[in-house]
Amino acid sequence: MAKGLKILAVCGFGIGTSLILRMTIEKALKSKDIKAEVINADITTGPSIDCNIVFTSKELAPLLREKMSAHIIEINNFMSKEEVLDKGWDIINEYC
Amino acid sequence: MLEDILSNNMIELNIKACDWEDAIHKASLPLLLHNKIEVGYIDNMIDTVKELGPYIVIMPGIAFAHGRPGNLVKETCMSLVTLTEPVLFNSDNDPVDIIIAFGAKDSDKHLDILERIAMFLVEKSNVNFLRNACNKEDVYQRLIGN
Repeated sequence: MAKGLKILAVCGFGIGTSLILRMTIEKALKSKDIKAEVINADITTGPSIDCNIVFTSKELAPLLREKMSAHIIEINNFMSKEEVLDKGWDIINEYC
Repeated sequence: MLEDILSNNMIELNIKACDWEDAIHKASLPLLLHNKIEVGYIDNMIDTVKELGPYIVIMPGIAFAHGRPGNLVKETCMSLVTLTEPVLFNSDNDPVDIIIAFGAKDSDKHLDILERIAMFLVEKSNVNFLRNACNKEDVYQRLIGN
């Protein structure tokens, strides 16, 4: 089981697209029975949040990589559970 | 509730837009005309893309235009517009022919609305329906029926 795995979804303003990505991540984890804390934030507050993995868009990833030590994963389709699992599976399993 | 936010006068179909900025302008018109946003919010949405890149194109063909929550948004609102010709946002998810323009008054009271829209758009049959739709009432009924 994932002990204290904390996942962050980041977008520009934290009111729209990161909420959608957060929902997709939650559904992806649920489909694999993985328990983790999933939160969302915007690009200004995100970097100060302590977490293990960050999912974000390609455009925002470089900025986050500069500022955070967490794994940064780029997602193209925020509605795709498959993409979240495809790109995040190995890293998520490091925490399980 | 989605039914309250996305009435059929917030839906425009087969609109012509010459580029991505024009597309965001056109998608915002229902919100402006119905007094849900200040005109400055449209610039806010466009500036977001100019500063942060086209991260709002969150799935193939669909852009979720939005700006910072705050007093440029008079009430939480959403519009949906389809384009006759797609436009380019310089995103990997280009070309875009469906734009949703969204304004939040507060930071997180609209989660259920976004969830409903997301659940709708994740179904390819719904997206194809939107692309081919000519009647706003049909679109509205399909959206709320979901």
